[in-house]
Amino acid sequence: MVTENIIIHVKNLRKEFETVKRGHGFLAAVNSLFNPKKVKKKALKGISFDIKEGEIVGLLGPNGAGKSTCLKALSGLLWPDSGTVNILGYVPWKERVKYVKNIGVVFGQKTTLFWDLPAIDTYHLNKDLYEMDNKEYEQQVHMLIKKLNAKDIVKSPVRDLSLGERMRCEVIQSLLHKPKLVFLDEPTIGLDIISKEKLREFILDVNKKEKTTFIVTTHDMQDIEKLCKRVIIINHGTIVYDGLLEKIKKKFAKDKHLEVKLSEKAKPFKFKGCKVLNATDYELKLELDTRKAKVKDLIGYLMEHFDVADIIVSDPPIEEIIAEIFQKKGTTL
Amino acid sequence: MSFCQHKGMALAGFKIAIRYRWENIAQVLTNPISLIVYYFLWKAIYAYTGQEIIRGFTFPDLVHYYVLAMIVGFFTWSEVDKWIEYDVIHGKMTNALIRPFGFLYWYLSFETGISIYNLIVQTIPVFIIGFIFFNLQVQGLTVFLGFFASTTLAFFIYFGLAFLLGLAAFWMKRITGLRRVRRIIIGFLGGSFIPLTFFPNWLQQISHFLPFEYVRSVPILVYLERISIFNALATQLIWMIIIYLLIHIISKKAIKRYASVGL
Amino acid sequence: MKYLKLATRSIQIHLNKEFAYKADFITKIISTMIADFVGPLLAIIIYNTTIGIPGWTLHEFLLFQGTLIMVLGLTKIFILSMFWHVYEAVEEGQFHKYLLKPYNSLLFLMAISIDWQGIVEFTVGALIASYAMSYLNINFISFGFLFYIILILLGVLFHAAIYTMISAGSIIAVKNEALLHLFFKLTDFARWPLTVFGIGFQIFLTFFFPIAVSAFYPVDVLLRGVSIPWLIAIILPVLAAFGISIWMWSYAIKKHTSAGG
Repeated sequence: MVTENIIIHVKNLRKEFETVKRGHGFLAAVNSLFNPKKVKKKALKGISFDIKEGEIVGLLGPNGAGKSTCLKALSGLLWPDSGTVNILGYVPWKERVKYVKNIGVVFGQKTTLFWDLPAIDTYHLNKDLYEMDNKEYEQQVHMLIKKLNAKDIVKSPVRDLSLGERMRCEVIQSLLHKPKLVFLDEPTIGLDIISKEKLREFILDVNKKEKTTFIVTTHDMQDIEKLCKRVIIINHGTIVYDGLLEKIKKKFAKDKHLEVKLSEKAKPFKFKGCKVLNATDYELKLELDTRKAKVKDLIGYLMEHFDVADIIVSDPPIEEIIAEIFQKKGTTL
Repeated sequence: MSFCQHKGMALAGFKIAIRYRWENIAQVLTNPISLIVYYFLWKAIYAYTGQEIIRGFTFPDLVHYYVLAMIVGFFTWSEVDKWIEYDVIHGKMTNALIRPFGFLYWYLSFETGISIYNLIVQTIPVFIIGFIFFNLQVQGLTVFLGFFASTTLAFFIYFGLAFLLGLAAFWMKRITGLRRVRRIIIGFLGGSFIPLTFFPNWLQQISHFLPFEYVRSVPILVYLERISIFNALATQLIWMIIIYLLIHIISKKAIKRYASVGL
Repeated sequence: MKYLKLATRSIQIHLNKEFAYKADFITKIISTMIADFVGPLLAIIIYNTTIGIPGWTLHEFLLFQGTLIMVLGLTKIFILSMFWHVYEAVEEGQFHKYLLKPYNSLLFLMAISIDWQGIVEFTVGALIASYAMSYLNINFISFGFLFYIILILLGVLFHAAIYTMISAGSIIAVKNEALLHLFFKLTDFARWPLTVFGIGFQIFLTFFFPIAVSAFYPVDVLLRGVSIPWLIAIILPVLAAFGISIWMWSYAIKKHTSAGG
């Protein structure tokens, strides 16, 4: 049996911030200058997890949950109050300069490319910054450009590119120096459906071929579903869930959604555990709490009382499930 | 930071400077108008006063001073405080922080690339204008090299001061007011508007203990052979050390601030 | 009328944005004041080390500088930001957004470009000027003073004309840094009394690029008096410039819309 190695080891990560509480208005501002009211905020309350090489893990959590603090610790930009972090054999913030040569980042909303220059110029820069040798660089950059079909766009100034084109250039940049670990923050934001699909396929391809580990933070649930087998959900500074995405769906999919198409006009009806989400003349959207009733019983009832043309049964969208998990305060599942 | 990394950043700065070349050329062509204004102004003042030498400067000396002030000004110019302010406000600081070297070098190496471009496109033409139209004296090799060295040190001091100010953006975010103050103070106490010898003595004494005169006045005086090259370079080096020590201390605090506030 | 309403609303929004950065707001005010005092400081230094500028005592020169700062302050309040709005919009290819509103484009831009910072400058200028005037015992009830005010306003009008022309220029041709820098640099001539420059320059700066009307002529009129024919000779070029700028603006708009933006 091949043992996969753990490349990210996080244990008991704690971080507390001291911020100054400011009131509103001029007097409060003056007051805060002379008498600052310091408020302590526990951003991370003891986070632990391990990630193996080649995983694609989704890091989820509402804003202010401690996600970005965690990411900063993982990228070496932050030193925690206590706990251990070991990534690829480095302690990120202690050996930052050596460590960051092994990571890549893609920020969906903020570009890391030079705005006025063609992307290829930024790639040349990266070759120097990461001290790659010429042959290795040429090989890598040509391969990435070819795979992402970016031959023409890397020669235009970044400011002239569309969002989709720019994202492709960003992804190339993040992978140029062959990092073992890549952080993707909102990688498909603003892209059209086809571009999203292509980008996801590319990430999966790189992950398969190079065993590059990806940590994905996003609010796009389709990204999560397509890319991440495993998700870590952080809320209020602790991990609320760490495991397979499938498990969440199974455990939380107590609800089932039914889309019912009728051949006759709908009539109002009542069924235990069934909630009508939306109703038009010939279509019903229903939500059934499977703890209160079985799907087959509802279907039976509908077929008995209505002239049903079609029924589609599906799980509720993952957003709802995740949102529900966000609601739970600090309880592990 | 390795030379390879520095070269890369400087090249990127140079390339971007090329893209803004029309802006640069326009400046070179129009800035000499200030020289014309100063020429007429001081010509009238000297004639009215009837003295040949005022505070150690003859009229031609003073004109040369202004030409050199323009040259040094072009070469030492930096807007790094504006860049840092922009990066902080737009959340782009991570880009500078996630590099395999300190973020000071991200900005500094980049700026050196722009300065090399400025050297070619701005300072050399103004030198030529100075020689042809304003009778600027062509100095010997030692003085030239001394001037070049002094101006280079002035560049680092100017950059350092601007960078220190830029760090304030980590706390204040918008620092437009501070930046304006910096430009005025460096201009005034640096001797851009008038040679420092025109100041009252007490102000001259104070300014020796401030870094500003080392950014403009000192290189100019090196070229005009009014101070020894050795003195100039030595004092500039001291200030460089002080400023970069301050940068080292404060940028650590700035990164802490970045981490805690989530810029 | 509606432009006033627009202006008040835009000032409110602007101020709200400014207050979000309180420390910067305060430093901006202080820095503007410091910046404006540099000129008078230089004046004092010059008058300390030399006899001064021919034909001008220290206080007369301070009056000159105070007047200039007032004109620049007024320009900043009403006109300066307009240019930057146009410049940025043109650079991003978004200029048409100013044509989609039910307002005259030029007046619209002026209404949204009111900048409170100019008030600080104007106040500093007024303080310096009134200090100088009290020292010089200026008679405020006189034709001289009346013309002083009129010429100041004309100075502001000329600045408005310049900025309108440059803005029109950038609508037509996006890259016109050279012209921009040229205009900015020419205003350097206004910082010192006209009499300092050679006769050629004096003619140019009075009749062809009448920047001298910013500070020199108002103070000259106040201190030395003037004849009506000469007054008209000074005013006409400014009005001409104003007319040209309006024409240029309409031309630029027409060209912009016909070209399809």
